[in-house]
Amino acid sequence: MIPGEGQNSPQPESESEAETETLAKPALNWKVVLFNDEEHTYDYVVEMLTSACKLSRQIAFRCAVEVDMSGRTVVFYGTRSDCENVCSKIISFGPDHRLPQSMASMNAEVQAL
Amino acid sequence: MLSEDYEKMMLIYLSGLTDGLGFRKPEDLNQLSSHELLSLSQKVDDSALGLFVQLLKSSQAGERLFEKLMGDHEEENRELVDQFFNRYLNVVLSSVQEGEHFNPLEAYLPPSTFDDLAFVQSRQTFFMRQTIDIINEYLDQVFRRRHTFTVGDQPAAWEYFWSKVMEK
Repeated sequence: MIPGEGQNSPQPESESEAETETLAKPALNWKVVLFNDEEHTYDYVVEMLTSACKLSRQIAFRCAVEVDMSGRTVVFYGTRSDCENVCSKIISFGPDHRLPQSMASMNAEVQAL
Repeated sequence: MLSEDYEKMMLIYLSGLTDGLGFRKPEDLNQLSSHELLSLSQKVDDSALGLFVQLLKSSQAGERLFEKLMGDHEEENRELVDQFFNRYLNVVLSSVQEGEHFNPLEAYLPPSTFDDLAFVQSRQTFFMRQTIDIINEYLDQVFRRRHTFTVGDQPAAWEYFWSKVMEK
């Protein structure tokens, strides 16, 4: 998945490594899913994702295209706590100032992998 | 959603860009491989790139076609994928066209909106995200006097702005 590639929360490469990681820190087995709507522009999605998820502009743009075409996109992988934090930033980012009819943030939710 | 007229026009346009392939409905684009779809996108003019993506979206196979635009994660398609997304980004994002002295508050929160308090209130997060220089410049312009809020003063600047709007 695009946002995870070198951006955040890389997955462990082997089972033994995964076990060690589990002992050392919380498992990165949660994700944040962003849902499409008709009240936000590509500009908004890119601006919001670069701020809330610290994605690069290029990766954020690909997420914007995916959410537009597929209806949803995964924008972040991490611990449950980190995902809840990111999700909270997304749903409190506010409306898209470019569209007068936009009155709310985009919708997102935390899901288990 | 793409109108029927635009859909028909785009299908004719795309058919003309390919050798012998006729697209009669958006779903026909799903028959193309990732490489073929990306190669076709290279022939699409910048001005039609947005309609091209909307056509793919209207095919009822948007998720699958997005994977194809991503090159089906094949290394050999990486260059075509990067070219497509770089072009589309430059075409679609308005911020690319916004000039050096563009003030987003002046553009999207003009005084003409101040009568709609619900609207102005809904723009609080947008206001608070701006740098203090942008905010001062905007307040100077709107209230015709000099403002000197400093870094980190966004909440105070919003309180000031909101009280002034309420006074109007």
